Amino acid sequence: MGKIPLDRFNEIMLPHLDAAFNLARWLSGSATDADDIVQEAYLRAFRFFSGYDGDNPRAWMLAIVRNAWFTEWRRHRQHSNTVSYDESHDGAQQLDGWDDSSGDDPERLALRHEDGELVHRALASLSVEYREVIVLRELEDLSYRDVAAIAGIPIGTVMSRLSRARRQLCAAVREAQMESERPAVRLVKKPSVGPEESSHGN
Amino acid sequence: MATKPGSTLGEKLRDGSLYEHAPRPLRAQVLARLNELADEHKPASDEPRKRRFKRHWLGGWTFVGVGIGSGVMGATLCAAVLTSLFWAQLRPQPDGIEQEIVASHVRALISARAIDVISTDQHTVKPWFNGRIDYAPPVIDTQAQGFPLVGGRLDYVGHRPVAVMIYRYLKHPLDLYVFPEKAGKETAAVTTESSDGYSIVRWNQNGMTFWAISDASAVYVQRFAEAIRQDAAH
Repeated sequence: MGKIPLDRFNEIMLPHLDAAFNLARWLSGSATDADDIVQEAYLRAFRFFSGYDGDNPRAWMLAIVRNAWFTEWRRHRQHSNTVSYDESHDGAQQLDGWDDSSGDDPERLALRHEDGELVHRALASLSVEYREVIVLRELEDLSYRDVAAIAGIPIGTVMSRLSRARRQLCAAVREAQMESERPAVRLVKKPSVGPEESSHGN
Repeated sequence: MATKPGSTLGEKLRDGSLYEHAPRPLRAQVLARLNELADEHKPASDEPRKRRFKRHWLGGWTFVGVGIGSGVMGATLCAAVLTSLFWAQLRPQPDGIEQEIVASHVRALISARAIDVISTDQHTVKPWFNGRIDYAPPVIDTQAQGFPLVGGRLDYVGHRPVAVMIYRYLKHPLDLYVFPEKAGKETAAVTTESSDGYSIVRWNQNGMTFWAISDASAVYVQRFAEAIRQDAAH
């Protein structure tokens, strides 16, 4: 009793290191920041391990990763002039050009062989609230309930935010696809800038 | 990141290609920091057991034993404190330096800057340190023994900039830290294994202290150290 069960903690939580890194990487947009966030999150998780209820360990760990990132992010944001996020302004009117039904549904938007990088960039360009639900739901394949618990929002909000996020991602991918098809653009196309480089300029 | 022809955006999101996997050194780093944290917590968690023991012990001796008991306890405590102080003095900075070297090695692997000068040529690596540090580290090529030189790096250990030569054993990076040792005694190679699983070999030779560190198993780090020692002796 009273002994801190490091072995047990490692056994349960370390398998989710990839998931922790994936979330931290997509939230922060930088591999270096993700490294720090994951380390901080594991230390926090260990300290609060007695509060872990034996439920989905991945979801529990990811909630702590998100909190660790949030602390960092808030600190950063005070120094930069990031546009604040307003859910009500992200409605359908922004997608005017894309309201034919095929553009809205990721399941129906066909990709070409070379579109991998383009999807990566499109996802990285979404606002962080949208990126978060896509990563948790699509990449991590978590339940709505788990996504809600991690993001700290009601399940209804998860659903509506997710459908908006998917629409925006579609629009961003389609736009990028059209850009790359335009020959003039292709001639001046520079080597692609990953999310890592683009986020370092602060 | 190529996409299967004919796939949709929805499939792409779930096929794992967008998934960012943790870099390998991160695992080691997380483990190291968890171990550190767990060690800090240990003394606190042992306390209840000690207290229970004390109460029981005193209870057994009730009235007569209390005076003698506390006397003995006091003496034991004094001895314990003195011993630990003595120990702390007996084990001076080597441990500190060792920790610093592990930290520096891991940090270099995590960061994008593991190597400052990339060259397999010892005559390129050695002059690179000119004007950057105030000593000339021996840069030895151990390619023939299976440890090719891949470059050099400047690092900061023990309150001074130090030369680090980077070698490789198969896929394992192998860092050799070299800096002048004031005491200057020649010592045999000592092998240790850090708590986070790195193999470390250190020795003094020609007025320098050498620290070799790698995640490769200790046998190979020792073999590497032997190769460097023999060459440096010439």
